[in-house]
Amino acid sequence: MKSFTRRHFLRGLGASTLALPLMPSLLNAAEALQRPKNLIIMFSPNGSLAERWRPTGSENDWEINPNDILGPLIRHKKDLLVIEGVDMKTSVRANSNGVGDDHQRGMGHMLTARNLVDNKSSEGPSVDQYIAEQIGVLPLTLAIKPGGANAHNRMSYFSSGSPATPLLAPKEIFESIFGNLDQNPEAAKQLLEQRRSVLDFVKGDLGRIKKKVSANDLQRLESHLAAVRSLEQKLISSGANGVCMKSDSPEENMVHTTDAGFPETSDFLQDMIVKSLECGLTQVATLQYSRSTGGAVFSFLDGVNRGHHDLSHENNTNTDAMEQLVKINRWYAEQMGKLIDKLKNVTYSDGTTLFDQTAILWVNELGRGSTHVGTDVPYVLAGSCGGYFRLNRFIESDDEPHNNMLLSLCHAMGVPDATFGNTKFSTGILKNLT
Amino acid sequence: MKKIFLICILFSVTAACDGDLNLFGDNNSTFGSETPIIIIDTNNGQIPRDDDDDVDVPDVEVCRFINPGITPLRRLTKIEYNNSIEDLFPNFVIPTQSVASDERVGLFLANTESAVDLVIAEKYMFAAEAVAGIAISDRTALCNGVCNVSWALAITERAFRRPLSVEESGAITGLFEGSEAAYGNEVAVRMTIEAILQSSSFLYRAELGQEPAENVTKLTPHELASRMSYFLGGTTPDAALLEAVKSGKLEKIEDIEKQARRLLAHPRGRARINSVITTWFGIDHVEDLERDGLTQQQLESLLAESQLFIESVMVDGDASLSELLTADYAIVSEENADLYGVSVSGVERVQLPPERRGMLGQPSFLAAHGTGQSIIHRGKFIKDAFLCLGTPDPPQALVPLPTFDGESDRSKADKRIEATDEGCATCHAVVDGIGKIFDPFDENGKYRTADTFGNTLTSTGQMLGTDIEGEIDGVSQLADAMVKSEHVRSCVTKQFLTYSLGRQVSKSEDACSLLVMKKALDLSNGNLNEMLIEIVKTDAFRYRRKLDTGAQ
Repeated sequence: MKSFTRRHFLRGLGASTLALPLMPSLLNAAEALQRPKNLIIMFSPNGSLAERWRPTGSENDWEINPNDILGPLIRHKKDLLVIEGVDMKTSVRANSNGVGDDHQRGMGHMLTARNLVDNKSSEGPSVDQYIAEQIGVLPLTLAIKPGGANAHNRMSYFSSGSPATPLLAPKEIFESIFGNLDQNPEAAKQLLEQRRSVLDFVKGDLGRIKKKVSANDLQRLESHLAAVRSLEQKLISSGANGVCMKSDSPEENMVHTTDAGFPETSDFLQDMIVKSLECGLTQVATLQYSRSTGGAVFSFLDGVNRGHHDLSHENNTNTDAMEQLVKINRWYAEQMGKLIDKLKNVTYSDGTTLFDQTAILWVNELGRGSTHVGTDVPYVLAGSCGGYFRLNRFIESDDEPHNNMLLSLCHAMGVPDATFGNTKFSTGILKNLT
Repeated sequence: MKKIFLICILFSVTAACDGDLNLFGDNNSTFGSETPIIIIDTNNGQIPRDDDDDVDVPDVEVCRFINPGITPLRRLTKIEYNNSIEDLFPNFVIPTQSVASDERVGLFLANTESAVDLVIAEKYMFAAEAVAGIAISDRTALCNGVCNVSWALAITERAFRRPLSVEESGAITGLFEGSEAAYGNEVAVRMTIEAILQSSSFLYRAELGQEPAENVTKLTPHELASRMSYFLGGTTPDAALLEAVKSGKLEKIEDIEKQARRLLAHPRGRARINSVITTWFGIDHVEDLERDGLTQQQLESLLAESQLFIESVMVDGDASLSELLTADYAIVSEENADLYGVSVSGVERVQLPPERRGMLGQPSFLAAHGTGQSIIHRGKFIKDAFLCLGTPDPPQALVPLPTFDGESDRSKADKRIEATDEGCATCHAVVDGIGKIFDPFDENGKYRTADTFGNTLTSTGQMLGTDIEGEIDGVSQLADAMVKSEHVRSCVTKQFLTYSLGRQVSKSEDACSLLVMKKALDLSNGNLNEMLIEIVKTDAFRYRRKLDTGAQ
């Protein structure tokens, strides 16, 4: 694993403190050049309803029906790229190694385009973790009610069999991101020294134990050792940050463990992502709402009284169930809209915003819930990622594999690989996105 | 209004009706045959049973050799981690530390697959810092006021559950003395505790001492003590167990048994077994359900009521499978009395109405598996947890099946089976046949005679695929049949051996151990405590295989 370097970290901060002597115009240009690109992947579960999701019209002359799922995103239409017709070919049982049920395969293949190892994990890595490793940042993995560590519940993987643990509790997230940001520099330096001595012992112990375990367990301990090294790098990097101001700590009574807590938690997690990007603490973040087969009951929405997964299995002749599903999915669209707003609110002196440097991809583990198909998965992309994606379009892919969607994210983030995931299916970047 | 239901919601067209739970991964039969396949391969690391090994095994072919499986390296579960810390610092009140959520092996919690990542490593760091911060607040309580290198070595040894190597002693001494010189004694104490609690020797149950010369070897007494303590108490070995190890009193079978009985009777042991049983019945997460008509308080009480019931069976009762499944009483709190269909003030032990018996008739169980399509979920759970039949993955594309609104769940289930092909129907017949027995209970476990559409509800089901065959009417009949079933008792042994080892059991390697457990269960009238004691005597528990280690 490439380490998260101080140099990289400072680049992430923007050049405002380093480039002080420059003329303002030069400063702007230098800033814009150095400002990193960011990727946010947002997940909602249980498939969509194509007939209520799909915009109308052609590629450049297209409309969103205000009453449909994407209605809440109308105000951001010029910043969207809606993509239909991409298939998760690797996850079709006949194409895969057959491991996992449809939801598990959808979830495990969604960001990896690789097979499941077993019903707990994927062969990974997922595109978020891969890009982060390639560009040398530590990704931020956040979730609301994702459930325990198994293939239904994890979408982000470091490597084969190693799911990334999402951060859940608002207080822990805050601590993890801002734990060391604005301390007294002397105290911060000493704490860092002490923590590093402790971690040195921990590394030594791991090194001794790993000689005694089976080959299979050895791999787990090697990953553990890598995690401790990353932790050390993270401590070093965040200790160096004297520029970024801490945001407000979460409300003590914020509930992130119930369905009713979704709106408030979503707002907080989005703030944490935006702040992390703004402060240059990372360039890659995932935001997982619920989990595949997630049965959250969004009773905070008028007219919704059943669990999402249960509803997703209803046929489209059940109009009440369809309306409830539209409302649930509209809520997710709204969250995407809010995230876009938050990113646009971070402005730079050259008139650009954090959003301009960022791409958000909204993903789902299935095309449609009632049939469990992994074809025609609904992708909504927002933001150009520093000019890479050409926006304000609705495009229909001719059944390209989703490997290509993931590879396009790699290219957008400056990782120009030839393929992504299972090479049997990967045929290059997705057509017509740039 | 027309509605569509789906066939093959859970089961595939082609796969046989077993597999998911995979209690016997090498079993290809349709319903989980009980005939053991004996594979004797002396090159594959099995050794002939030693004549002076004093454990009593059945005189059968599978017990002639000792052939332990490979038990994976287990990282402490959340409960084990917090119990261990509590027992390492007994003079302090330490809040429960939030560390990462646990994986499951089969039904039971065990972290044997995924690795510690940055997020988990950071959680361990914050938790260790919090604990160390509390511990240094009272040096008298921590180390009688003298926290020196000897203290550091002693607490490390305790945390690592084994003697330290020379190299390890050197590393701890180096850390303690180095940090003491740089930052003073208090910081050195804090850093030492932080280091120990983040160490893999603490976080993983390595159960690894000297690498054996032979392919198969007994665990060392320290390894055995650790394995026993977490198995029966969910925590680090206590002083008495460590003393037994030191004085050579954890080697003979009778000494091992004595310690096992002591651990099981200890409050930690009682709490552990209680929690394992709630996990086995799939009710350990009942507090997380979100249901209309049930408050958070009610959900918490549902679990507490079952825990009190289990306690009364396992401690005050005869600890039998029979009482667990067929008891005609429950312990009910006022707020949930209506769910049980009884009247209660405060918390009382009450006689159950005839439609409820034992754990399977408790609302905690019925609600935990009563989500959405209850017939399928309840049936599948019983098929997996008590019949060990396993379930394959469902097919890629589901076939929509038309039905009509207002129909009973039973009728929908029958239509699903009628409309599907043989592959789906085979499994659904088994699952739905069991699930229908519970049909009168709504998703929260309340008994009704008619559903919301006015359809009359009945509790007749059909049992297939094991020695419980034919029509069963109601929970009481089901429970009686389960208690009498050889198949169910065999399944119980597989479940508890799976729990004790943190791995799936294998019918070649674990055949003798399972027979030993089954015999204990049979001879004791189904006493689960006796079976648990017997586990610590099995080959699977006491022996391990030489590993192809990272050192090679």
